[in-house]
Amino acid sequence: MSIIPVLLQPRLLTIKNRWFKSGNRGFREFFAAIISVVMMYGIYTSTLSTLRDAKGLFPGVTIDPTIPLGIMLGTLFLMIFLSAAVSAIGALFLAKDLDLIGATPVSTGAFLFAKTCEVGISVSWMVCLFAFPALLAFGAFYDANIAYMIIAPLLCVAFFAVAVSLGMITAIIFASLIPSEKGRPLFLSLFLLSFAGFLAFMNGLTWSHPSLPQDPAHHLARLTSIALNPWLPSTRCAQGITGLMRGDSAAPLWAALESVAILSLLSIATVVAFTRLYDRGLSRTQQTGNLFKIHSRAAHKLSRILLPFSNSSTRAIITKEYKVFSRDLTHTVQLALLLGLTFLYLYNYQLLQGPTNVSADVLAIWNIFLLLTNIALGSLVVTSICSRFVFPSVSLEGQSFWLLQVAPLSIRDVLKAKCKSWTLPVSCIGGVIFISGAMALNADIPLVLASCVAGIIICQGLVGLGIGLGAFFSQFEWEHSTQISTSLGSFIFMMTSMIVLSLNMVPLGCMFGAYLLFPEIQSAQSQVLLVLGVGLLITYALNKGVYWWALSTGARALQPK
Amino acid sequence: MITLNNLSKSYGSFKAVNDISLQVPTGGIFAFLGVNGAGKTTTIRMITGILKPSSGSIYLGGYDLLADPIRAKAITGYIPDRPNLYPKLTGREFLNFMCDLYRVPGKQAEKRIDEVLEEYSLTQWQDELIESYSHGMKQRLATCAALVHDPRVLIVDEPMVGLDPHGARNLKEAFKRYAKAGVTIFLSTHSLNVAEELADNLAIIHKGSILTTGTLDDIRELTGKHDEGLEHMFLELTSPSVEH
Repeated sequence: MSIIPVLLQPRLLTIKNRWFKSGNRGFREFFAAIISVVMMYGIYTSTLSTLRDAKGLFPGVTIDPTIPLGIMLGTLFLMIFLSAAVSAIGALFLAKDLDLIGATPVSTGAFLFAKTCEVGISVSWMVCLFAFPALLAFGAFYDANIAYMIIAPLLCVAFFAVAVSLGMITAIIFASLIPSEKGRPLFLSLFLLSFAGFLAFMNGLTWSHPSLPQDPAHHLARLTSIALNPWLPSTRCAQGITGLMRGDSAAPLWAALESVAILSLLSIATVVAFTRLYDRGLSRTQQTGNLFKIHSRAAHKLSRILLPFSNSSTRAIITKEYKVFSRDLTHTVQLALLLGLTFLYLYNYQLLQGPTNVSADVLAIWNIFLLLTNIALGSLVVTSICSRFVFPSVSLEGQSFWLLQVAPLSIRDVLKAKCKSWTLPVSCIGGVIFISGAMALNADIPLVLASCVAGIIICQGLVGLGIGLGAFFSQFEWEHSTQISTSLGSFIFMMTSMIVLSLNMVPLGCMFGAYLLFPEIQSAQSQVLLVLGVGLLITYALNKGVYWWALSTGARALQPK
Repeated sequence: MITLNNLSKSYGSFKAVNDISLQVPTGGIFAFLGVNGAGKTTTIRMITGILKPSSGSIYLGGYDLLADPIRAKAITGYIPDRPNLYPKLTGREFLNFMCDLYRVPGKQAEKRIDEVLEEYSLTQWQDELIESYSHGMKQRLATCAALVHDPRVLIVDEPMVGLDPHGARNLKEAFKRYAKAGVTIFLSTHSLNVAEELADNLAIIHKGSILTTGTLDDIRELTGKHDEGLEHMFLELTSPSVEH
């Protein structure tokens, strides 16, 4: 076991050297770390003030912390599991250090444990930055004692370790069963099948729920009902933390024992799977080959037809991006998992329907809230897609980046071409989310269209932000590609995206408010157009500004030095 | 064709390249020699636009690289010492990508790609992913990529690394042909036999400064070693015991 710190040493030294021996880059990382601390404080204070506001809005009603904690932990568990599964494929099967370690006298157990630690730390540190300040805020709000402040994060760590372990075993089984060249179509087929099964399962769950009273607060309760099934480990962990908050020692003990028991079982299963399947998985992932014969000449002609208005260098970069993306197994896995999350989000969202037994004013305010929530939550889904694919786009050039540096085009043109590559797919996904969300709310057609247009505009801003900050925090030397989306830069990108989303809520809130609170506007088509047009124009100007700022920042960072 | 004026590159107080000036005439092979860490790769990276000089200027084909980088880069091809290419593209897709970056028109690009693939024996591998290529094949593909847009200036960093004897011989012959056709080749190497065999002119860089430049005969004249080979003169000039 003494070999494990040795195996982790290169990663730790790389981080240390990046901070202290990389000149400006080190300063940039240090600056990012300071921002992270500020943001953690921001999460703490905003969670605390939200809880206080909620108490002010519903006086006399006791909010059970198990509900928000259960939702938060469930979401974070899913995020860690998905990240761990993808990172484990990279760390165990595609990392550049495998040959080096394979040639040294390191035992299988030590190798697996070291890689699990590496994956676990890389995928969960960011989640902990989000979760721990929120947990502390809950503790402060419910007057928890000091034991809570120490034990609650530890309970979360044990719970997150379960997600990491599940991700590891999933990756090992996946890589050993499916040859790399067949991974894409097989995985997508499996995903579609499991999605259909999931929908059927969820429908069953929903039907079994008793009907709930028709008022806004209970609509929110319905939204959260799926996340609060008692058999879910996240609910059990949330119950443990709630118990701890109330000074009950049995609930947290049971939650901890449950997490440790599941973790132990999963660890045994991971070791067994690793011992039996790793060599097979490694040889399969190292295979090179194509399921379909690539006809390079025909593909190139097709790209000229599909991108007729782009200049040749932009077309070259766009075509290259799509080809590289579609041939990378880890990208396919991430895409399928993220699409799953998107469907899950949409499924949950359709449970929200307009209340019927409230006054027109309350209904209007409720609808404004829902429309803004639709855009905000949809944008968060888009942000998580961007953090996985758009943000790493520049860094993924890796050691081939010299090809673009010596080519006769500016860095800004390179970044713009990358933005063009990603704007269409991200806007399509975003468009579907925003339209579906607005339609699920039974919103008027102008509002559905405005939501869609606003969403697409926001997508452009987010793509620009992703590429720009991806360039600013670019790292071209990586062990495996999945490391980039779990970097400090990626965290800053997500935080900055949330600030941009908050700014967007101002013009959009005014736009929806003007439409829904003043019925006389709805009766005149020209006024509808004016209100929606002005709102969307301000949103466009805001996002265009974000796009240009991010691209300029990124281009400056990548200029020859 | 290539002019470096008082070119310097500093990292903090360390001067990697110290005030070098060179004139490389059109159509010929210019060897840029130096021991490891002498400043060869830093100079090359500045000439290709990857690094920005701390001071000085670079002209490629009359274009100022710092003021007009797009035009200067458009007439230049670069073969690096390590062929880091896109592993998930096929050889042909990669060359198409390079043609598009350098704006080679469609039909001309197809014809030129066929020519370079044939010349470097990669035609039968053109539809395979680059990740399945051997190191030598990647090096040959990087050479194809540098040549596919018919550059007037070719910058080459350690060209023989990873090539088998046949590949190395073919590349040397190819360089001679290109030089004869009017391409200016700036060749950085520490293989003295390669420089001796190919170069019309050469320069020796040591600790960031140019020790000497000219033809082989000029250097023989300078060192007073009229019957010695390049290796002997190079070792003497760059010996740690010699004060420069």
